[in-house]
Amino acid sequence: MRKIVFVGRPNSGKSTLLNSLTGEDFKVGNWHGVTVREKERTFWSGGEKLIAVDLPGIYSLSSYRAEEKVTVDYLRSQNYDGIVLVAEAAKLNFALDLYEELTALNRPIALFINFYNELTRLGGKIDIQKLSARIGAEVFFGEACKKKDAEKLNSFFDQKKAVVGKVRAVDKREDLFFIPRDRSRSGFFLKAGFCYLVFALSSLVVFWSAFGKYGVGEGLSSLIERFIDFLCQKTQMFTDKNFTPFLSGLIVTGLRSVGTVASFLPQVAVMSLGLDILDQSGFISTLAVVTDGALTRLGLNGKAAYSLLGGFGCTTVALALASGIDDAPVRRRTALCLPFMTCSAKTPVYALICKITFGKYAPFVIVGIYLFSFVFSLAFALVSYKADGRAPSPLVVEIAKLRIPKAKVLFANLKRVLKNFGLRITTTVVISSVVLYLLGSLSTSFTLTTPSDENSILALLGRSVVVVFRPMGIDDWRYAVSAIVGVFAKEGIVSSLTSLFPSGLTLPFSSALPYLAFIYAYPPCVSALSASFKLLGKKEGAYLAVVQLLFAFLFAYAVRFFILIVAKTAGVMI
Amino acid sequence: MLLLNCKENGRYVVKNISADKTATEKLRKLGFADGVKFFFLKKYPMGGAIVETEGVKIGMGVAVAEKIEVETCEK
Repeated sequence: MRKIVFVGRPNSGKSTLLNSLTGEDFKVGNWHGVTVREKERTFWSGGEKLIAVDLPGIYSLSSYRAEEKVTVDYLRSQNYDGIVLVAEAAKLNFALDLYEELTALNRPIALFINFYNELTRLGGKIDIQKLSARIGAEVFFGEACKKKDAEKLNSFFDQKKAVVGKVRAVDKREDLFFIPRDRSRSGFFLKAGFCYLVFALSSLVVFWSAFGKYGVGEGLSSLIERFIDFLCQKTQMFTDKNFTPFLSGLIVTGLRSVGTVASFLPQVAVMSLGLDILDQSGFISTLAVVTDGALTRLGLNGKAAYSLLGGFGCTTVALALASGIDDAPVRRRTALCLPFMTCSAKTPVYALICKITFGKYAPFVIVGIYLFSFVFSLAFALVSYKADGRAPSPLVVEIAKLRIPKAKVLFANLKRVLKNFGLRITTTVVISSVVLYLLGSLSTSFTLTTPSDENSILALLGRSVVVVFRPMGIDDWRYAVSAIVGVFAKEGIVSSLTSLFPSGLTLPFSSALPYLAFIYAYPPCVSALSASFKLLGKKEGAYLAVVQLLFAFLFAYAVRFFILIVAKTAGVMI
Repeated sequence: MLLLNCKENGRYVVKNISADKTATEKLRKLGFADGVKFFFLKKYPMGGAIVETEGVKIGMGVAVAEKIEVETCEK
C-alpha cells in the first residue's frame, strides 16, 4: 500500500485533515505533545487503499525538540510515497520555508492551505495558481475539518498523476499572497487579567457542573444510579430464580460494581470537556506565557502549565504531555509532581465517600482536595528544584490563535475519553469485582460461604493488611482491600467498596478524612506508573512510587492525629 | 533599548538577541531574528512578553525578553 505522510508546523491542522480524510479519530489539540509519535491509518481514495501517516509538527528539518526529531527521523529514513504539507493560511510564508527544506527529500509534495476562509475574512488573498506554478506542486485550500475540502487531495493521491522532481524552491514570494495583520481584539485576549479570569471562571464552572448540586454531572450521575438500582433489582429477581445463590450473587455484584463506576461517567465527561475547551480555544499557549514567570520560580516553566492542568484529567495523559517539554529539568520536575495532582479517576472515590460523610458539603470537600493537590504538587516541584538547582530553560512558544472550539472536535475527543473510561470499567473493574467476589465467597477451608464473610480468604488477606490502616482510623479490612484494588485502576476502589459493602458504606468523619488523604496521596494506577517509569527511568520512577506510598501513609496518619487533637481540645468524643 | 521597555502595539526592529543558543534558535525558527520588524503586543508582570511578526505571535519568558535589544521602527 502506498504511504502518504502529513507534515506541517504545530497546530496547522494535520490531524484534523487526517480525521476528515480517514473518518478516524486522531486526537486533535492545540498545544504541544498531542501528536508525539507517528500514527498510521488507512483510507480510500479513487478505489485505492492508502496509508496516511500523521507526524508531530515541525518548524524545520533541523530539529532540536524530541517530537520534532521523531518527524525529521521519519522523513529522512522511512519509506513513503508522498508528502502533504499542511499550512495555516496566515503563516504561509513560514510554511514555504519548510516546503523548501522538504524538496530536498525528493518526494512528490502537495500543499494544503488550511484556515483559508479565515484569511479571506480578514481581507487576505493567495494567488493559488501562481503559487502552484511557482513551487511546481499542486496546491489545495479550504478547511481541514471539512470532508469535501480534504477530499480535494484525491487528485494528488491518484497514482497516475504522482510526479517526483518537479518541485522547486520558492525565492520570490511578494506577488503570491497578501496576509493582513489580524487586529481582532487580540490585545484584550492577551491581558494577564483576562487569562487569570478565564482560568478561574472556567475552573469554577467545570467543578460546579461536575459536582455541584444542580450541576449537569451530578444530575446525570443520580439518574444513572437510579437506573442501575432498578436494573440490579430486576436482574436479582431473575437470577435468584434461575441460578444458584453463588452465581446470582456474582452476576449482581459484577453488574452493580460496573454500574456504580459508570454512574460517575457524567462527572468525568464534564471535567474532560472543560479541559478540552481550554485547549481547543487556543488559550493554553497564552496561559503558558502568563504563568511562566511564576512557574519559573518553582523550577518549571510555562510549558508545564498544560501538563499540570492535564493532571486533573488523567495522570497518564499528563505524563505523555510532559514528555513533549523540551527542557530536561522541567520535564523531570513536572513528571515528579504530576502524581500528586489528583486525577479524575479518583473523583468517583472522593464523590462516594464525601457524599456519605459530608452530605451537602461534599462538593466543597472535593474542590478542597483538588486545590490542595494543586498547591502540594507545585510545592513538590519547588523542593525538587532546590534539591538539584538546575534552572529551567527560557520559554519561547508560538501563541495559538484564539478560536471558538469546534463542536465536532470536542465531541470526537470526548467520545475517545469516554470510550477509554468505558473500556477500563469493563476490563479492570469487572475482573477485580469477580476476583474479589470469588475470594470473598471462599472460606479458608475452600468451601463456599456468604460473600465477604469474615472467614473468607479475602477477609484473611484484608486483616493482614489493615494493620497499617489502623493508625488512620480504618479498622475494617474492606477499606484496605479496596485501596489495594485501586493500584490497578482507581475506579476499582468504588466498585470494590460497593461490592464489599452491599448494604452501603458508613464512615465517620474522623476516619473518612484520613482515608481520603491516603487515597489522594498514594501512587497512581499502574498505567500512570508505567508512564512515569518511561519518563523518569525505572530507578527514579520506582523510587518516586515508594516515596509516594510512604508519604501517603504518613500523611493519612497526620490527618488522623490532627483530627484527634482538635477533637480533644474541643472536648468532642471520637 | 531593551524589548521589555517597548510600548504596547509599537512597531520595532530587532537589533540584537543575546539570549542562550537554544532560545535564539527557537526564535529564529518562528521568524524573530536580527533585522526583523515586529509589533510589541504585551508585557506581563511576572511573565515575559508577546510579540507579533508576519502573522505569528511569539510568547517568551522574561529570561529571553530581557536579552533582546530593539530599535523603534519608523514604518
